[in-house]
Amino acid sequence: MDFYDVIGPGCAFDDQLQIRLGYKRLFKVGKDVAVLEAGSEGQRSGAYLAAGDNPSRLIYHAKNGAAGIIPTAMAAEAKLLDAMRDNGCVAVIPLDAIIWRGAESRSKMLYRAARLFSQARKADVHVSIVSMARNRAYMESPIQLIGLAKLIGAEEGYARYMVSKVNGSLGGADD
Amino acid sequence: MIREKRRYILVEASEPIGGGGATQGAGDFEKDLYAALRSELGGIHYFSANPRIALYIGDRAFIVKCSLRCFPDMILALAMIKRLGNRDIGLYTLKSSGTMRALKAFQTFGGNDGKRL
Repeated sequence: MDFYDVIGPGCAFDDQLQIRLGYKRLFKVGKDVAVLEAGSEGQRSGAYLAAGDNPSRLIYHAKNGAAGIIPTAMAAEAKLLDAMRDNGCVAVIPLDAIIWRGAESRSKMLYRAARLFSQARKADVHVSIVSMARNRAYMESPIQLIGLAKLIGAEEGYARYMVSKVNGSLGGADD
Repeated sequence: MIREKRRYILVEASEPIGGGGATQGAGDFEKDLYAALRSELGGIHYFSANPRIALYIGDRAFIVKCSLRCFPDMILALAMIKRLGNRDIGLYTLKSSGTMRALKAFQTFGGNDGKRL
């Protein structure tokens, strides 16, 4: 099984580290995949993710080719989930928002992530879990991503699917 | 008395940790790691998991052993640790096994090729 992850623009890594961790490919924000704030509309080329907490802006991006939506408030309305399902868009859970020391209390963020996961799966929307690492210390191995996916409510099989196929689709991996 | 089953986890640090086990740096690292694990797991789970560093491999990798029943919690705790002492260090779980020999062989013969999970 091939595993993928999305890391932040400031995270430096080499191919050896990518192989040692067990990834087929690490997608870097700004190089392999773009992350747009939901307020900025317009035509995009290539894979991109839309981040924000304004539902109408996020719905616009879901209908206009975004590969994934990052709800920064870790919540999604039914209309947004419907738009995501109809356009094959993925709900992305970034771990840096949960793990980062300066973030809101970790248990509260884990609760919100678990609720988002549950809502998305009930609406038949695929969920992705990515490290979005801001530096090397915040990177995670596939085993750790799978463990964290199980923590927010995924079963073993779907947790592996999240880190392989769903994460791969964010960067346009063709397999 | 039933013998507790153990699980061995191969971990790599994002920064050098002063491996070899004999240096002062490694001693500090061990103390900081146990303190961070106690903080993440909580006192009761830490006691059940009973994590111990079994072997250092090079200056970044090491093998930590814990009880089998607390193994999933150990994976999560290692993922949550981002600071040890006064240094920013991430810990990557590369592989786990029921024997230390399998992990040593894994590390010696090329490590993770992305298809062994």
